Amino acid sequence: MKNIKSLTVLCGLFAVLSILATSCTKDFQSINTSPNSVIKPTLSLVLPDIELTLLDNAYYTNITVLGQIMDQFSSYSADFTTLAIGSNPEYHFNYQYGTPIKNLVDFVNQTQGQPALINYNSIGRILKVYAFQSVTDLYGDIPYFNAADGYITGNLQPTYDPQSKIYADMFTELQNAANNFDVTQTLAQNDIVYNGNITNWKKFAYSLMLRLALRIEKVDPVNSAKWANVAYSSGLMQSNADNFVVYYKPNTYYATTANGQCTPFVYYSTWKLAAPLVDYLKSNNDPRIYIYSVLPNGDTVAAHQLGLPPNTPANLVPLPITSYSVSPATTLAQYSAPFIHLSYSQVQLMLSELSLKGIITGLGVNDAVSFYNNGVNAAMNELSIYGGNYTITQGSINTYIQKHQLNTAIADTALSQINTQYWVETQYNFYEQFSNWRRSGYPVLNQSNYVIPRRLMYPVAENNINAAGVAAAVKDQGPDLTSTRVWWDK
Amino acid sequence: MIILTSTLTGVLMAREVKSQNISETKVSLDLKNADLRKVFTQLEKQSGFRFYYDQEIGNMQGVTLKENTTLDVLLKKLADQKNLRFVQENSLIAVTKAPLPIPVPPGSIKGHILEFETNEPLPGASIRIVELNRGLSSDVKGAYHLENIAPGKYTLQVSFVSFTTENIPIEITSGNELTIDVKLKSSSNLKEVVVTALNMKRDITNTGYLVESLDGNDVNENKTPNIINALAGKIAGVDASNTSDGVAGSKRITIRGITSISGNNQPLWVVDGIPINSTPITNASANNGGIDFGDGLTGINPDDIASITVLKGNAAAALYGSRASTGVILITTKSGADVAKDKVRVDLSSTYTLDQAINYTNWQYEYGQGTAGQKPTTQQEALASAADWGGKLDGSPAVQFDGVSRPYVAQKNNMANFYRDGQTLTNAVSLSGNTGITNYRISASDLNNSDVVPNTSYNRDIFSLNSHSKFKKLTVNAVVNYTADDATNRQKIGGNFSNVNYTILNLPTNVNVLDLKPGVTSSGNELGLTSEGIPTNPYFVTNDMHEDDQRRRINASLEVQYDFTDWLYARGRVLEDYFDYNEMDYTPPGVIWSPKGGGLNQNEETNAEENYEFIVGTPTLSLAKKLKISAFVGGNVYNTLLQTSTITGTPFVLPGVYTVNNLSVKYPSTGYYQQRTNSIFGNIDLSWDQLYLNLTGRQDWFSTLPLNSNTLFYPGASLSYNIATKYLPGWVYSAKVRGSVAQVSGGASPYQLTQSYVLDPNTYNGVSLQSIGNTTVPSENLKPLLSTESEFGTDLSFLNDKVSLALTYYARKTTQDIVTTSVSIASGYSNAILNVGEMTNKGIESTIKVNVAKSSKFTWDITGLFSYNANDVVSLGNNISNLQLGQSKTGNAFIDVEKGYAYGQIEGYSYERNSAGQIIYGANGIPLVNSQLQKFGSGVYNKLGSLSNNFIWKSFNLDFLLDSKWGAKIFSEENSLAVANGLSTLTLPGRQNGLVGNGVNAAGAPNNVLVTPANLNNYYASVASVTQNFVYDASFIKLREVALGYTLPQKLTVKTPFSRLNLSLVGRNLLILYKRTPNMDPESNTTSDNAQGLQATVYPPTRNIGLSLKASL
Repeated sequence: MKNIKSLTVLCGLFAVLSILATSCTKDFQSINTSPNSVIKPTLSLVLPDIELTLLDNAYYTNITVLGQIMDQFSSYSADFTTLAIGSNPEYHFNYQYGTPIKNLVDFVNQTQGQPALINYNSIGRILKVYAFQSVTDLYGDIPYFNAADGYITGNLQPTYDPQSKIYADMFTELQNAANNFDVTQTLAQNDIVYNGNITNWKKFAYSLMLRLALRIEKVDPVNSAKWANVAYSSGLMQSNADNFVVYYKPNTYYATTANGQCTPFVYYSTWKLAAPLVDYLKSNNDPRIYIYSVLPNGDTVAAHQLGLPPNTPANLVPLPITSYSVSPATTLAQYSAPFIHLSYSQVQLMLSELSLKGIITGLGVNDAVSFYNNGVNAAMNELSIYGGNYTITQGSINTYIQKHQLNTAIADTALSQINTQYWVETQYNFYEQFSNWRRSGYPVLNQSNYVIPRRLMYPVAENNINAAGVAAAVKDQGPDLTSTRVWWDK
Repeated sequence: MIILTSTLTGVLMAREVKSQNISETKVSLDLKNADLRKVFTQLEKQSGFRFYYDQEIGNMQGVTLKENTTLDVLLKKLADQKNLRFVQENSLIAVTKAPLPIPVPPGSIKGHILEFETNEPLPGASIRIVELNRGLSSDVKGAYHLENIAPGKYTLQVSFVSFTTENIPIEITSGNELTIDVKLKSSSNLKEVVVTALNMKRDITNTGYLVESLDGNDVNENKTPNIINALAGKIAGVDASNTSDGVAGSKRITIRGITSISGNNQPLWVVDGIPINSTPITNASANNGGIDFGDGLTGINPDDIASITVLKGNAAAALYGSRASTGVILITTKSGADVAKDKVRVDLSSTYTLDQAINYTNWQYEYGQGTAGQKPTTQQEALASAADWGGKLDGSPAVQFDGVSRPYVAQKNNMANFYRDGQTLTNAVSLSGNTGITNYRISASDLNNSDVVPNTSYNRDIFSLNSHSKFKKLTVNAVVNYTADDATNRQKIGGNFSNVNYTILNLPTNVNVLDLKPGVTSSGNELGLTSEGIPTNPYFVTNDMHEDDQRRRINASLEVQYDFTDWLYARGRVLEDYFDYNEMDYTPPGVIWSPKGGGLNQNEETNAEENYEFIVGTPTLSLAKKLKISAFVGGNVYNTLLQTSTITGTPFVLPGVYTVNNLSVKYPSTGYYQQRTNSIFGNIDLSWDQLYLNLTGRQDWFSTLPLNSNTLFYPGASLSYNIATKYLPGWVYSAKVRGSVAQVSGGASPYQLTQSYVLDPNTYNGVSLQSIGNTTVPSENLKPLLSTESEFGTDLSFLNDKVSLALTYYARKTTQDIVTTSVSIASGYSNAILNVGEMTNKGIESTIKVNVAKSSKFTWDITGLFSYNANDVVSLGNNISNLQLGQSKTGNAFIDVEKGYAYGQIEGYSYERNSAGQIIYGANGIPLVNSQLQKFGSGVYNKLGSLSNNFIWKSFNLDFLLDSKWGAKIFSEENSLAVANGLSTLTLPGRQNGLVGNGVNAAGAPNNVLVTPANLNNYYASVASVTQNFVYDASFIKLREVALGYTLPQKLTVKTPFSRLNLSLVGRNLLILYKRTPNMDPESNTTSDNAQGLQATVYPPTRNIGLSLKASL
């Protein structure tokens, strides 16, 4: 009898517990929602974050790898000749996809199809092109159409797209984004670059289009000319006020509010300016030298500056390491160093080359000279972003230009002059510098004892976890080696 | 009248008590060889009593007495000495010769000896009256009859081979016959009660699955700070590994292989019913290294452990629900239950252990620091590279890192010079008592450790209290544990700049570590070994960098049971595990690689886990003659909340003030993670004679899964049968067969379902910054994972239980595993959480115990364990062929999960070879590396074996344990770096004249390119990058533990205040008898996480020798 009683009690209780357990799951959704995050983004807070994080910690790929390749930095202790495997060459790839591209793809997705948010959407699309271009230029074929879609579409192993198709899409993206801006709709808030100014954004979009167009001049001259003309006729940057500059905060910590540009000289005593850069500035009496170069003891006298020969083993460094020049901590090598992503000066130098080659309708050799002069002039003026002490007088700029007239008589010389100026102007933006050097071949780099890379290798992890993607890229563009050339670099 | 005699009882018999009392009358005698007359004369004078006696008595000689006592005592002595009888009548005492003792009629005892369960008679059982040393055997009917027993209280001892011995107190009364039937329990059927899931006690003999237990002595004789180390080699199928993360670092333990592809694979720890969070605070990753902050299991005091039970399979652990899919380790702490009523016992234990760093390295000592075959000639050169590509060590002066010229000679004692002997002193005291209603135990222990690395130490204090009370129908059990863990200067390990172990192993051959002292220059800045300060000067690390952390932990449980009737009880439990963790570390200004002024991290973490459980059940009831049932149902709410707070900053404003407030830039962040699981469960036990059936069911609701798929019911069933003795041949003592099949489910971590946006703790010019917070792709479609296991086994015992064998086969399949997997970064995320994957584990476990000798003077037991686990990753879901678990700092070795292979494949590169297998060399004579990743085998051991021997000889005991593991590989970053740095003996060829690699060139012709000494470093850099060269077989045989003990014999302890005194000499990790890994201990995994098979430079292995003293008061 008591057996039956006990079993009845147990069964009854089990039923009660079942009901209780089920009904007590009502607050599970709130329990499983983090109090530290929200499901819906606030676009005006995401935009400044994206603008600040467009630049990776400049130390890794930019300085240690590209800065050394480009004869601007030299360190005997960093692995220079073995660019094949390592975290530094793959850093840019990993960072761009994991941070700005992820946020940009989402930003564009969040603003898609909503007329009221069209200005945010257009800014997102332009910045997305900017971010993708810096990756494809370095690595070649990359995931583009299905990239950073892990959450939206669940694509965890995106396919690698040919660079030719990526470029084709980037041109139309820039054009459509620029066309879509609508002054009657909400302007972007907290835009730390252009303060929501649509005109500025359009100028940036077309200036970027010009950069893209010039890049493909050899491999696809028809489209190169087409898009260069579209860009020119649609309105480019008109002055240094139009530059795409991101200012970082002094005395800050980590990537969102600092850029890592100071790292080699503040942290490592073996990093020095490379001899080719210092020698170039000295031999040309370049008035920028005191902004670019200083001895560790604070001496900025141009004649005293000394660059470390690239790729020098430690035991062959002739002088004590403290004898060599570094970037000044008050200008380029500071925590708050502003970063110029794209400048009026670059636009003028590009136009100079395009005019020289007769690609822009209606522009010729004479225009090339004035563009060149404007470009050099702007390159010197833009350094005033480091403060009043670094404003170069118009007189010394004029003197410099006077002594460095563009030699339009010899095309190669002129191209060398233009692109060498580009090389000096893009200091610390080695992503752009390396690409422009590969395209133009100028300046001639003074590297010995190793083959100068034409691209960077894919992250090792991609070979491991996205093997099919890498295999498709290898099939399309060639072996995953630093000697393989990307599509536009033929 | 009082009669005093020397009869058997010798009691004083009082007939009449007058005012004058012989027991109150003081007398004093001092006589030698006197006659009795003289005695009585003196007594008459002193006492006033008069003695009447005859001549014969008066003449009795030879009385020697020296007494100062009462008269009755004295007369009693006289009565005894001379066989007299005294009869007092008022003040007269009559003295006569004592008559013969009056016989007291004896009693007798009879009865039957029966088998406990069956009531069958047991012929031949031994029956003894202990005090009289009289005994006999039971007859064919199991009957016995012992007669002629003097009245009194005795102990009746009944014993029989292979049955339990019973000791029964009896009282024989004069002339009566006592009837006592004794039921003996078969010792093979002995109800060996173990604590199993939900703190329920079960009889181990009727479980349909394997439950294995260890006695507390098995883990506290040879103590280690982390309990995991003490489990190595002691339970079949349990892989306890010795990751070299320092004394207080986290350790890894897995049961029956790997269950989850990327989840936690370590078992749930339950102490006195309280689930303990044993997740490491942070795990040093294999590639970037860092600090291992320990796993919380150091908070278990080995001296408190009464027993450890391991629930290996799903069936055993199913009632614990989702967290039991990786097995459960149950610890029961000691109580006061074994203390006699109203007694108190004090136990003391003190252990001192010495840890010696072992140097397994055998580097080259022929060539020193330098480049291109040249020794450094300037400080700048010496600072440029710490590698050993210099000249022949010829004793000539060579410039070193500090600019000082020293003889260019090999320094072979850097390890011995840098490391010190680690010391651990553990003291524990406990007080146990029993009032009859309540038994309790209070204990306190203190552990004080100084590590082999200077200035690194660890202290731990544990206070615990438990009490068990039974008031009629109410049972109340309460446990409270408080643990204070304090570590100072936990060292960074793996690929960290400041890993001192790396620095010591990789110092240039000719640099003496002592020359790097004191770590700073006169200006207080780091004395650098290289110009970039990588690696950091080890003395700067140990003297100037700082880390300290404190963990304060409280575990508590309150269990109340009420027995309403004899057929219904209810039990409620509240369980709490709470800890607060504070950590601070800083790098002072002056460190070379951070010239900005150092930095500081401060972390705080609080973790609370609560379980509320309610059970209603019925104890064993008979349904029919042999059919019995017991059952319970219950529910549980599990809730955890983890809150973190971190502040990181740089640089310091004022020198020498290392606090957050003194940082000029601060970067704070906080975290909050809550999860809850509701569960209901039920359990039914049915038995029919010796056939037992157990059915369980549990349903979980997980807060971490989507509302529409957050629940799962999973059942379990197990069956066992104890084969009756009559069916077994004589040499088989007992036999049991068992089988079970059960499922266990599992949920996910919090907040993995949707994408979310987080705010940056810092603003930009007043603007808040927001971005996607996920680096793992969330999944809105997660489902609970499911693990299904079937298990079959047998427990056999032979030759009167001298040999026993437990054999188990199991097969476990995990499906729709919740996997956090590395995904292509081009997806925007580094990981994804997916319900993919299917993995199987199939294996056998066997335990053989042999009692070689057993006597009162010498006992010898041998225990052998062997287990084999075959793991197979069946599927990783659509389009995924492999997942990455970890990678080496050197970037040339990965740990991957590969479809179709055993878990945790070590992958990397091999030489480029032609079809004939010859190595292909480049135009520069350097071997080419094949960039296709190859698999080199799993980093997880699949065969475990151990052999332990226990000897007891008189008061001595000697135990030793051989432990071995087989079937795993390990990639040694240490050996790879030693080749890259020119430290390995492998780099000796070619130093003088260069070398020509043996193989072919790209065209297929024999390679004939000479690599000159100047370019040798590039040649060996290529050799170092070939993963395959440094993947070794990680098998080993170790002499894991030795203990030699001496227990002071009883006859000696009675002269001391102690009831028990034991002294032991213990040793751990004394010898490696077999290994295949050059320059290292094969058990040197960098991390305790799932990425097993990667060795980087970690703490040196240590040999531990200790002295332990245990005493009871």
